[in-house]
Amino acid sequence: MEQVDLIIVEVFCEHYKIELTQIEELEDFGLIEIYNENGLKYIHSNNLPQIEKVLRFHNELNINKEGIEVVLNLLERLENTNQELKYFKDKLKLYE
Amino acid sequence: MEFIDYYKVLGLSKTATEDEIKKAYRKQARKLHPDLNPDDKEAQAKFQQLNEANAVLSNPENRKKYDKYGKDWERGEEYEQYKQQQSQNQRQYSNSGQQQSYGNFEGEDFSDFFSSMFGQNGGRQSQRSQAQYRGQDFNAQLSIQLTEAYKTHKKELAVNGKNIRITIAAGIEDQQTIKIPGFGAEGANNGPKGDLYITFSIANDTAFKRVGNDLYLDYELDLYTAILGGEITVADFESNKLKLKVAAGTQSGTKIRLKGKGFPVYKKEGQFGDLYVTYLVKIPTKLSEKENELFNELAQISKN
Repeated sequence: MEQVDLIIVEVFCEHYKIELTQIEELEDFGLIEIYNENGLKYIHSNNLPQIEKVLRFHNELNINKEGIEVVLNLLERLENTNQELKYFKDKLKLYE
Repeated sequence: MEFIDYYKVLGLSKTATEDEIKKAYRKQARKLHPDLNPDDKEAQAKFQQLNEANAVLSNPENRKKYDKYGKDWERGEEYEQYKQQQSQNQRQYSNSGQQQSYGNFEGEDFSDFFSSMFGQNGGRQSQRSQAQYRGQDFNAQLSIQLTEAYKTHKKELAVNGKNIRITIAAGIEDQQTIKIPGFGAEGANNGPKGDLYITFSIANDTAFKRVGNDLYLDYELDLYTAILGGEITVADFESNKLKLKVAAGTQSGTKIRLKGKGFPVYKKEGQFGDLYVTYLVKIPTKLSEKENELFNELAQISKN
């Protein structure tokens, strides 16, 4: 069975020097995932890069939660568009 | 090593106020932040310059030195004197950072110009503070041949002095990035290690062209087979010989699809794309006297 690394939310907040309420707000808004187990709240270590990204948007660029959601959606669309673009570029090369 | 005009980087004049610098920095950061420009090396390089510009111009002492010696960093007595004092001052700079600064991501290093003027520590305040918990991610590029990408294989890489062995699944795409968890920098305070991201660059020295999981091959068909039909042999990517029937009257540019003879689908064992063979009818250029005569005869027949 795959080992899952969970980080207690309070420990995470302490190391990243953020308030617990900030994390809870981001979770309420659906921007990050928090797991409940035995009455404790955890963050999955695999989700850390994504959570860090959300925090950077929030703390470094002063983007609010709604804005972050929009940015993340647009980034996803950009990624899909880039993949499509690559496909068509490769296809175009057939005629070079 | 080139002089970097930090005022230009921020789009400001030399007389800019602290407030203008702060505003310009924030505006540019919202545009160039690496999280908003994934895979854009140019934006990331500009962001690094932006951070440097902010580190220098928003610190009155750094700004004063930059204004005085910046352009003449490579000559001048005053600058030499300044360099001698630099080590004493560095401590002062690196401890003074109270200003807001943005993430550093993979761009650990400062420009040569910046390091020369302020030392590596001079810009610490412009960087994201050292890992508080999760280690930093590493990014690496790996070039492989298309023939290697066709088969699942292992490769040994040296990343930051450590040798790691990775398995590259068949069907990996050009510019695809894979994540190797836990092979980034060490975490701090018992935090998890960062991850290693490897982006593949796939070179193609074969006659095949790849589009997604499909392969394309041009096949030169001789005129007579194209007109009369016949049988040809085509080698697929693995050099297996495939016998194909060519219909009489095949036009140049005709494309045929050989199902499942293309490239392996990434991480889907046993699944392959298709191979498209395009017939390019080759018109003979050097005709013998007899051939010339016969073609003329054919031309006459077709006119009647």
